[in-house]
Amino acid sequence: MPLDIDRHAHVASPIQRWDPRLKILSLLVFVFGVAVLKTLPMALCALVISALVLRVASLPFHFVSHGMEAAALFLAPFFLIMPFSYPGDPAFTVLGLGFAWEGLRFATLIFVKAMAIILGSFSMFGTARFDVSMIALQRLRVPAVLVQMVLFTYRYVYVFMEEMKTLNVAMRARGFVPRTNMRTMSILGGYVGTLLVRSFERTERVYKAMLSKGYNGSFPTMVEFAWDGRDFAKAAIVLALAAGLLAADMAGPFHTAVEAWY
Amino acid sequence: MHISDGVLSGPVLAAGWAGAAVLAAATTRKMDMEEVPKLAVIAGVFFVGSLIRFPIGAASVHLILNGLVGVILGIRAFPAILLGITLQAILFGHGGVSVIGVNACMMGGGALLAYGVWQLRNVVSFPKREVVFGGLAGAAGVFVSGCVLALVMVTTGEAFWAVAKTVLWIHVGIMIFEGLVAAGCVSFLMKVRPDMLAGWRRGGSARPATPPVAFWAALAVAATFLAPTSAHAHKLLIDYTPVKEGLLIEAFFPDGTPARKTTLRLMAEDGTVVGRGMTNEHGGHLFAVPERTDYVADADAGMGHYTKVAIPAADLADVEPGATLTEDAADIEKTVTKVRKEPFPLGRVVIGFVILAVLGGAALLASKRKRHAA
Repeated sequence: MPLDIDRHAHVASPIQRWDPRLKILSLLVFVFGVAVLKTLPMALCALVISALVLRVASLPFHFVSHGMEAAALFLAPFFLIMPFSYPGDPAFTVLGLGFAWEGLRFATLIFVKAMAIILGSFSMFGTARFDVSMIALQRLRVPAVLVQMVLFTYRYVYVFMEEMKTLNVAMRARGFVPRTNMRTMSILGGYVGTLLVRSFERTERVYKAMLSKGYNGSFPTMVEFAWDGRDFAKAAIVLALAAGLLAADMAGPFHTAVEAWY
Repeated sequence: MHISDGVLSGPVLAAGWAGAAVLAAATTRKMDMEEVPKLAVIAGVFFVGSLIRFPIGAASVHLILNGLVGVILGIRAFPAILLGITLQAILFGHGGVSVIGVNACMMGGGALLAYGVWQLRNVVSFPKREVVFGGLAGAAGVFVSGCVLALVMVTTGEAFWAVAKTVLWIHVGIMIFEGLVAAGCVSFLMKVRPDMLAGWRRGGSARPATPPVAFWAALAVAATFLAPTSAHAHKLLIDYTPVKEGLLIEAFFPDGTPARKTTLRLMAEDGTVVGRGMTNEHGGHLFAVPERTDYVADADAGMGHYTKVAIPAADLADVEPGATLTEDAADIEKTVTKVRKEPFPLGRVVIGFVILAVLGGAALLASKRKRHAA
């Protein structure tokens, strides 16, 4: 599972050239708009738009497939449970359980929305260097402390993954095979503990080194942002699409008896 | 386990973000600059911890570790978990960007309550109490997360109830494993670096370093989601009024707004559909009644909003059976419709808060008494 979200940040495309502040802001609005959609045709439109943005940013499919798999795994039970648990009139029965098409439609709606949002958020953060995205967030008034912690954590995650690999090798070399028993659990506890202690002690050293080099609680940066008409035009397009989706969703011809649901 | 994008309704998402913002502000008060790297480390371990897999038969689950984070960081667990969740959402698309707020409340709320459980170790004294309470805290963290997850689904809509129940059972299973791993980890840390655990004092018999703020914070999260308004506002209600021409059936929501374009059905007791109709802008529809017997009426507003009501034959005394509906049926629908409102269940809410307050107060008293005795 590669962690570097920004490995396609260098590609030249209209999305990568977009000012990160405007990009994050307008895609965020789009994502939240999608999250409150409630009709299937509009959700499908949102999915197509997200896929188009991804296409324009020339992000390959394997870049997003892992996130899609994770969501699909979480949502699989919805497909299995909802058609049979949906309150109302079952269309037919399978093994004594009533199957309602409405439930299947609902599960599909949730699935399509989740996919559209995941694709949208990959184009939000996968099209600029991670530190640039974070500084953009800071300019968007996210508290500096939080942004700094995200940067710290992002840096450490790689280190800890290496540490985990070392620990794994050490455990395997001593003949450890994970099984479903008490011993495995207490060993895993020790494993997590070792990871914590090692990481913690390393960080203490790093922190002291940072202090001695003059760290005073802020990261100076050379990143400069500038927006022009084209950046605003792109933002306007995305925002208009989001507004259009929402408007069509609320008042459009797809509107059936769903007023009761957000 | 965190919830994915696209499942929850707008109000629940908003409540999640609001809850996360309040909790983040409350738990990062008076934070030293020196704590930033420490939080970042634990957030990082929480993040990579989700890659550690534990086999259960042929399948495997990954560790959640939010209870353990609470045991190590105390109330600062919340910002650390918020970080971990944010990174998981950004880097992996696990969870998702729109549900960062809800997920942070869910996992972070669990961590805060786990810290509360961990602090209770000072109330008792027996050997290895740290290990026992560490394990309990690990289990409590997962349990609370499971409860909040089930709750946000239930408040989103009735269609989620079955899924929520399944999710809750899965968490009960995970809770056991997580508790045992947390106990193992705490026992390891007690031997190696006991100062890494929250509230540690040299000499062993420690008093809580901070009053159980975690309890109140966790209660606040619980209250946010227990607030029944959003679930309450979406219950579909149905009522009937017998008139001379037939039976007027109305569907409406507890706040009095009529349920428009809702499918209504009038059925005989054996389930055969006698009449079918769509509610008008006042939420009503007039049905012709073939004969004076018992009926059942139901309403389906889609998306899991379903309700039904039994209509006994005794109520149909004034109705002329078999009357054919004329053009002025529409006028009757307008004139009979009245504004309805089910009172907000203030009593139940108050009782809920009282129970929460009593529980919290009892915990507070227990820890105070212990402190006086010491």
